Amino acid sequence: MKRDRSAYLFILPAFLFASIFLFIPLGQGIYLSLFKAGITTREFVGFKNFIKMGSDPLFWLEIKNTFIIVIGLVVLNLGLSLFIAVAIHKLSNFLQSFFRFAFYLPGICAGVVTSMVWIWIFNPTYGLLNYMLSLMGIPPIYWLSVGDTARLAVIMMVCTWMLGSHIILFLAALNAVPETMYEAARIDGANAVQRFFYITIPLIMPMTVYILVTTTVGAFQIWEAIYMLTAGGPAYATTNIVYRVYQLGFSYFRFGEAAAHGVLLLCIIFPIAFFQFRYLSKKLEF
Amino acid sequence: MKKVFVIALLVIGLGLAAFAADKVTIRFWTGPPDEVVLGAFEYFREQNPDIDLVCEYIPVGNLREKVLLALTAGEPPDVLYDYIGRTSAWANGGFLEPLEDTLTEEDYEDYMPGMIELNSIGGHFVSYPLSITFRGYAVNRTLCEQAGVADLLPTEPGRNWTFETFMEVANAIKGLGIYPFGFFAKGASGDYYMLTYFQMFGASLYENGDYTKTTLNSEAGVRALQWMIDMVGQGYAPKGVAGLADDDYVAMKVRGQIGMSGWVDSLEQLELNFKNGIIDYVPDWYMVSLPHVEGIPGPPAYMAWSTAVVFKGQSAEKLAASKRFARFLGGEEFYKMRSTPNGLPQCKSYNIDHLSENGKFQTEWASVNGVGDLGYASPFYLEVRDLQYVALQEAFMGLKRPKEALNDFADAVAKLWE
Repeated sequence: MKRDRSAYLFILPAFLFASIFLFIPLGQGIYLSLFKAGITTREFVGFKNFIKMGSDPLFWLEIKNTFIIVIGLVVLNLGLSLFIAVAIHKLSNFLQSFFRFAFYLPGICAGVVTSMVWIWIFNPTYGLLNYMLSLMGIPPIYWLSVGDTARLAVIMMVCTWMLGSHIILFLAALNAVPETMYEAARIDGANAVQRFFYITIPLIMPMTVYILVTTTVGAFQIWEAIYMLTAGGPAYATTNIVYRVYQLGFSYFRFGEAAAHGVLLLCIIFPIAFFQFRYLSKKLEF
Repeated sequence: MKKVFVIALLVIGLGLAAFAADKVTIRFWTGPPDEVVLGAFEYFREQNPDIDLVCEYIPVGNLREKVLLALTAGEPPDVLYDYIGRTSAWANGGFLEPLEDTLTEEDYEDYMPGMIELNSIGGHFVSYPLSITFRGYAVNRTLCEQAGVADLLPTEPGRNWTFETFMEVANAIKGLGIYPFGFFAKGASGDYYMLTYFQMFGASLYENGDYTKTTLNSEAGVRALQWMIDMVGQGYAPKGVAGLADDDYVAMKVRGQIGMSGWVDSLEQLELNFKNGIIDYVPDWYMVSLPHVEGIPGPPAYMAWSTAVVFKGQSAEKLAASKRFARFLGGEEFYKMRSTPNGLPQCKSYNIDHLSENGKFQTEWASVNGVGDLGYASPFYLEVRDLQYVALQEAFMGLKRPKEALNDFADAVAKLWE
């Protein structure tokens, strides 16, 4: 019993921190969504903000965009970071460090700075990407002027931010897989592909689930990249829920409506993250 | 001896306290100033020893959020110097002190036509305009000389020219393999530039200060937008308008890739960039009146400016001091101290000898045709700007016809007021 009590003491600082910076603001956000709130005014309106949100012509579009960006980013980021980690984890320590550093670099630069670089890269007239395509005889692509390519541009940019840390995590997981397992598999006649799918993947599953959940949650919350790169366009093609929260709250000072969108996001993220942890963790093998 | 020392300390302390009590402290917020502006603040302190001016410099990108948070906390600055597009929101929220009691009859006559109205919200003059930049039209004269059409540029005092001559120059520039002009619609920034093309056809965002409905969807507006789309299609302007921002456009301009332009950046900045080796090309930009189709009168000048505003909730004494400082910022003395070759005056009577040839022309244009209404005073200023660029995107992307895009935009603006 005493031991239990001391455990509570150990988690108390974290609990207090989470309460002040997470639970209380979360509760306030939900509470605010029931008000028509301006800068200094508040009027209780019940669920009117949610009704208004549902009748907004942009509502389904922002949900659709959010999911396209999330799915695109999760698939690309998870696939690419695993691929790169597998490709470099057999290299020498020096080369591994070099690649870790190289891929981690965009993640430690300020988002605004890397956004400016990407804006230049995507510029149709003098951008790097179109210049490289032109060397292969491909005509210029108007990356940010068409909905599909604009969404792809956002996904690509955010992927470079996330990639570095995920490669490091995958490398740590890969290096932790006992070499004896591969040796045993080799003796049993398993080829490289079989070893990858029957040994590597199951043994790095805890890390994969962790990366999957954090990428998913992070992808739902993308704002900076959209703000800098596309301003939600063209024609709302990259306007996601968080960008709409920003617009409503910080541009138009409609804090109640912004909070309602925030609650919507919570209602989407929470079950997905719960599902990922609850059901994918069941299949973990150590 | 000890007693004497204590009494002396008390006397000095009380004296200092009395001196401090005589001073009124005002909190002033603005973006990071340059040395000239810092000198001007020091000058104000010397001229007004009864005011303790406490300045806080906040990065411009954070200024809006910082003021918003201060307002929600009930502790805004006393005086704020910021862009009109941001301060108008505080005025619309009812947070700003009316300032008309500081204006004289001469002031009403002296401000550029339309300036008083555009700085009045809710029936009150709430912001002193200053740091004005012009959004007219400029031609790269170097390119025109290369194309052999420099003599077509208007030289008479009003620098008026017809749409036909304008297109003749455009064709010649296009012949050099350079885009005569360019459009952008990625975001709201630089909206005035796109609106100059609507002005050429006689369309405007608002008429008679009625912000409840836009007039951009007029017949002239639809014609203007169709013309812009056609120009892109015919290679007069770069493609991909929906994904281009004003910054992309400026970059193309300073590289000499675009020949004519709505004015979106300052000559001084270009010259400074050239001196510092940031760019290797400073075009000879020549300001002209907007070419306009037959029957359209000379359009008003689109301008952007900063403002000095005073927040409510101050004691009478403090309020008087704040107004005095705000008035100083919006006055001729401060204008003179920080004037540049293209820093336009807010009043007609200010001495403009220091202005460049272009600056003088711009001042004349604004004095005669007045200041164009970009909707700063609308309570939905930012919403309308956001809706406007989306409408342009939809039209340029071919998702909607110009008429449909502009009508939908007009409907959305009207809906904001419901």
